[in-house]
Amino acid sequence: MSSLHSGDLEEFVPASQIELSRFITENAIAAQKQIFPAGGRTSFSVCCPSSLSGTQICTSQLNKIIDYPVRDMTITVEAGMRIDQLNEIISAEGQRLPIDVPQSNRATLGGVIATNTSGPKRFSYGTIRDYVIGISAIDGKGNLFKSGGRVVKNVAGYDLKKMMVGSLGTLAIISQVSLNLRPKPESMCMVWFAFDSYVNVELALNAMITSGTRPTAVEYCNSKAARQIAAESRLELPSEHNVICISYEGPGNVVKWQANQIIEEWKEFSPLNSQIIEPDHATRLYNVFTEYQTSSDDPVTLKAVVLPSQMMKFVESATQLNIAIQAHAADGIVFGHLPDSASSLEDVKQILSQLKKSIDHKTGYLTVYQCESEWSDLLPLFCSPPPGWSLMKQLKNALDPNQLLNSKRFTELVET
Amino acid sequence: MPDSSITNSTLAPKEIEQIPGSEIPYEKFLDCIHCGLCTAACPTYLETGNENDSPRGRIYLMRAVVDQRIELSDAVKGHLDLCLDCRSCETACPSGVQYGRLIEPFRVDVHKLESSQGKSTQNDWFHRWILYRLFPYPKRIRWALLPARIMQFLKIDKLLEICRLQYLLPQKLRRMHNLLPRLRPAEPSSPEILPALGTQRARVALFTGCVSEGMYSHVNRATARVLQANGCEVIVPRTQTCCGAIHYHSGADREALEFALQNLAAFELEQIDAIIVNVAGCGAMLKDYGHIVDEIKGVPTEQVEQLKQLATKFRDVSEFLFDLGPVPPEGEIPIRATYHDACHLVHAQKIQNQPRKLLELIPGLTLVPLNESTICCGAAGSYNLTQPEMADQLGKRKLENILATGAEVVISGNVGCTLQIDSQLRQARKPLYVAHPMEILDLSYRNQKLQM
Amino acid sequence: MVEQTNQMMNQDPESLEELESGSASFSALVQQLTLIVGEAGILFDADELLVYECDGYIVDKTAPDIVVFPTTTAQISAIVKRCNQFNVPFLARGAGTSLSGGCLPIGGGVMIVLTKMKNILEINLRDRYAVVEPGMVNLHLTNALKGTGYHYAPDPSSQGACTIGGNIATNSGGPHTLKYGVTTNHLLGLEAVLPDGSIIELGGPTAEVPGYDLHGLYVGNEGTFGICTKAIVRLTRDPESHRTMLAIFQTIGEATRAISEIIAAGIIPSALEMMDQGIIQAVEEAFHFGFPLDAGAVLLIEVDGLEIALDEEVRQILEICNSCNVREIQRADTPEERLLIWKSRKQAFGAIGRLSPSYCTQDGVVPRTRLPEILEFIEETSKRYGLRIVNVFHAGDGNVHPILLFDERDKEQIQKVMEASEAILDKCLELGGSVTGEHGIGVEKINFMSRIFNQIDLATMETVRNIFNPRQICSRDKVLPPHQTDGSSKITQSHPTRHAPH
Repeated sequence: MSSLHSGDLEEFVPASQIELSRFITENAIAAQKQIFPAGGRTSFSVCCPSSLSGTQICTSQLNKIIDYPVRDMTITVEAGMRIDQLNEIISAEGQRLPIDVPQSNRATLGGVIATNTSGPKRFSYGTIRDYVIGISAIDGKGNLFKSGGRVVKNVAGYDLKKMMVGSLGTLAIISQVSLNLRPKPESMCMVWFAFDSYVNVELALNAMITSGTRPTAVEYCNSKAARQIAAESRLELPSEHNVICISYEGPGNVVKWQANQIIEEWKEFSPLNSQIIEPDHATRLYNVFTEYQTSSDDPVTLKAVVLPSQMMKFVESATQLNIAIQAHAADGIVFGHLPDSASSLEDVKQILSQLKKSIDHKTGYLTVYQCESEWSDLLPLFCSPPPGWSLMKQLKNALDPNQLLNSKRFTELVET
Repeated sequence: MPDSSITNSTLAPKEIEQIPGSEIPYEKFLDCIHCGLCTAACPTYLETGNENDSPRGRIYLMRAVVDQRIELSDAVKGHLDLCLDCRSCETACPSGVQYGRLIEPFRVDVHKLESSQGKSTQNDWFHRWILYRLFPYPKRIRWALLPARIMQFLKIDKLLEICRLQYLLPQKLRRMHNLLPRLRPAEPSSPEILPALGTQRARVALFTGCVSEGMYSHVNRATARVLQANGCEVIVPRTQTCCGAIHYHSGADREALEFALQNLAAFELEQIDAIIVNVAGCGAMLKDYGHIVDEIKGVPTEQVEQLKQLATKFRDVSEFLFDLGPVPPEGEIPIRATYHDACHLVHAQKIQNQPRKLLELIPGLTLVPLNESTICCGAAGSYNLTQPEMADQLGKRKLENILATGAEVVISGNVGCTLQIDSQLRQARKPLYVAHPMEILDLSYRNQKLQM
Repeated sequence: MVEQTNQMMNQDPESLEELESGSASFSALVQQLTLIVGEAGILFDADELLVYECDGYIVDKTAPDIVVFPTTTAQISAIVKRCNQFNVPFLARGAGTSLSGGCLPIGGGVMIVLTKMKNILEINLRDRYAVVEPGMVNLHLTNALKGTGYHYAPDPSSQGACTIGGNIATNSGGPHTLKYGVTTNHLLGLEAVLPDGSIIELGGPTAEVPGYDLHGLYVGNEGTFGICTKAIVRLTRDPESHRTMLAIFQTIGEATRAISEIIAAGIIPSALEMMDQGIIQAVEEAFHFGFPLDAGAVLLIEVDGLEIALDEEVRQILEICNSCNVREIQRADTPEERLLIWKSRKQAFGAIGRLSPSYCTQDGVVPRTRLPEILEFIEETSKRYGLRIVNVFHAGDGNVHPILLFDERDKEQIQKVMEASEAILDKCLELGGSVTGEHGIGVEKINFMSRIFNQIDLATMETVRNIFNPRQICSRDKVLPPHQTDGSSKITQSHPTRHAPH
């Protein structure tokens, strides 16, 4: 962490997006220092390399509500607003942004977009890309541009909002966001299943596609992760085996009916245990699932994206390497906390290269999700180039021709 | 009036008679707002993917000819000729464009223009002898089929096929040969009056048709029996004749008018509740008599009124029975069947649910849905003979959809479809039976089994 | 109209070649393209090109010089490379149902018609996706999925004809977008031929891919980023059940309040369509559904989901409608009754056809709660211009479709329709909305772009477009206003649209 505070790292805290735009413009013309956008810094160590030299843009003052027409269920806020703050405002009106964000007391809206953060509910509600209806951002030359607007349906102009999703602060600094909101559900519950074999897990997940229920989330964890999740949630839950935990949202009777229904449906897959978690405890358990992807003290957390049908194969390989696994099972999104034993960079690289073998390189991706900041320089985040990588490079060059926005990270993004 | 803002034609001005479609009320073209929702409903467009072969494209071409933006070149005529006149586009159209009332009079004009230039298709041997001299007359069809019956009886037809001798026939006759189903013995002709069974609920006349009476007389008998079983007295006038559809659609509107007038004389409208038709193609034409007289020049006003009156009397048999309230049949027919929507029922007459509801009354019968059931099978009247390639493509498409249902029986309310589907099935050597809904209903009313 | 478009083309001195029929380069290009697609896959006879001079937007017309029907990605790539060699513009066309002139071949050139690429390449229920070719008709995909328990959610009103490739180009919506979202929410990945002929893949069948969301950026490009040759789409679980209601209100204000209350109660209806008094009267005149002629608004409300949840949702909706002074509610309990209720909505356009020879449908968006204001404004506009304007639209999204009735043979009326349309769209912007919710900018609304976006926004969009399409050789002069050397090259509309239903 030491280099983070190295002498040549300055901080700039803009009070408005205009001020920020002016600052970036001046920087582009004169100093041409590297710019590092920082929100809640929940992903900072991995997204911005340790050898920082330049200016850190702290968006903490860009946290105002611009417009909240409550009955239209849209909100326009500045991008530095913390997720908790946003949730508090809209929750008071019975509304929510149905995106699960870990460390939401620190994470900012701009950061969620730049890192494309999502959680268990993505199965039923999608990700942040589905809720951003308008965006303003500042490119490497200081141009403050916008895309979209403040209405939920709008096809005027190119959808520049989308390219900001997952851009890791390398393309433009997100300054203001309009969101589409949803009503809060009446209640929720979860059902915890334990299975002793991968085969039964796979059969159960496969049966999910024609289930009579409509879950909001389908979470899988291996026993190592299950133990941690059970402990964290302070609930008595069987955690010695594979676990699938399903959540339902909606009116009380509908949620209850679905919970009982799925237990009935899955009897044929012989779960060792099936247990309904009632609403008051379910919220706590759900939050643990949301936080788990960033909760580890372990040095490296990886994220794999695979087809749901290929997921258990990957999980098996990872489990053999003593990795704690949580997965958004119906989406094929897997988080793995590497064991403490992976104490050197060499160990980590070796584990990654081993895991890569269990992923179909055409339809699967392995990325480094969190790591110690001193390693982030040495670990490419993407273990293989994503589709469209050459276009991404062109986009980066076009919007940031002087290579000022978190550019070192961008050039080191992909393993070569 | 043609849209003057678009008419910036470089073509030399023409006499109005030389422009096909110029008599069509221009508003009918304007009804089309060019949205394109009809395109994927059009069987020929589904096959070619060429906008010129879509309803919107054809309307555009016709209008361009009327506006004198283009000449009626062979290419343009080819696209218009490829139209099946299945009217699937009318079902899809949200703006209520009467496509049939554009393409049909336009084609009539084209044929007239061509015959005046001595290059009409109507002058070839096929139109002269087969379409015009043979088809309208059930007796002639029956006589013409006699050799075929004998050949089928003696299995000589199979021998010919094995020796590939049918390839010596001209292409159109060969296609007719291929279309020819296994013929049943012709039924004795029907008495002129058949009494209602049980309490009489209606008095109807039966339209027997030409091809249908010539080749499928058993369907006509079955239809009469079903009507009787539903309490209808059935009158079968001897002097009735062909509906004239083949003539009208190939541009011979005077001949078509003569048939219409003969039918007008044959049915005594005051004495009957309805004239029942069991062939979709004929039904659509007959119901259109009222529009068609407007498109034929020089018909006396009195006859126009009478023909319009006549047109209101025609009912498809399924439509009529459904409205009358069918007597539930009791005989069990344990088959898995699928129903193909004849274009001239579903699109031209908007009859879709009625036949299905009637069939569902039959104990033991399972009706399996047919994918693309409303897409033309490629029969389309004489289309099968005039546009063989497209007819075959659509026939194959229909066959694949039928086979996917796993049904043993295909039911359809149109002779043309029956011939086409039966021919496709025979060529693919699939032993499915093709039936008219009335055949199956009749068996159930008479408590008999289906002989496949 | 045609002349104007040509004039517009000639402004750029370095403009792409314009093919001249009969010229040497024309014959050479025809020959080259025929080698790629075969003789059955090419049209260049002027008579057969005419139908390709416009799509669902008929104000501007330009015929292409050549139309080709490729059947593979490799063919498209080869065609595009030839166009580059000959320096001839090209663009893709699906079913040609665009309402904003997305398929207008400005400057002529080669039109690549994708209707022969309409196969389903893969359906994978376990991983909830399907891979289809771009010419696949939207509804045909859902038909192919019947019985699987899944469907493709975006269902634009033209879904029976429009293609998935076109849906991607325009980010199509439909009556069910309120609950299920638009095309971009259901596209996982794609393959495309870029304007230089290279083939790229963006996104993929997985739930996401690392890096910038480029397939998201690609959606809604209106054909200017290249030609989509393969689409990977998300499949959506069928709802178990539906409930459909028709609620008749005295005023638009009450109906709008009911909409907000329903959604605030946590119910997201799968469809929320509104008909105003004008259209109610038109439908009633034509079809006699039994609507009261003095009613201010009729709402068609449909909810879907688990059977066990629906009765309670319906009860709540009825209660809310009652609290908003609903006059009458009709409920559909059987599939037949549901069809009947939808019939009144779907036949609305047939009814308009009976009232007037021509009509023009606009496409504006306002925040949902501003609906009474925009509808009031539309009524004022109607009075001010002496035009009959009726409204039937997707109320849940605030997406209004005012329909302006006129007679296209009356030049004075045409002018009024143009002015009234512009006034309404300007009002939409003033109320914080947009000038297009689903039809796209195309060529139709290109003049509005500089009112919605400032120079920097437009420049950034242009920068992004230039990454894909630096020479503007692919679907030129769409979405972004062309650089103007003088005022004369600006596209001016001479004729209002006679638009299709929505």
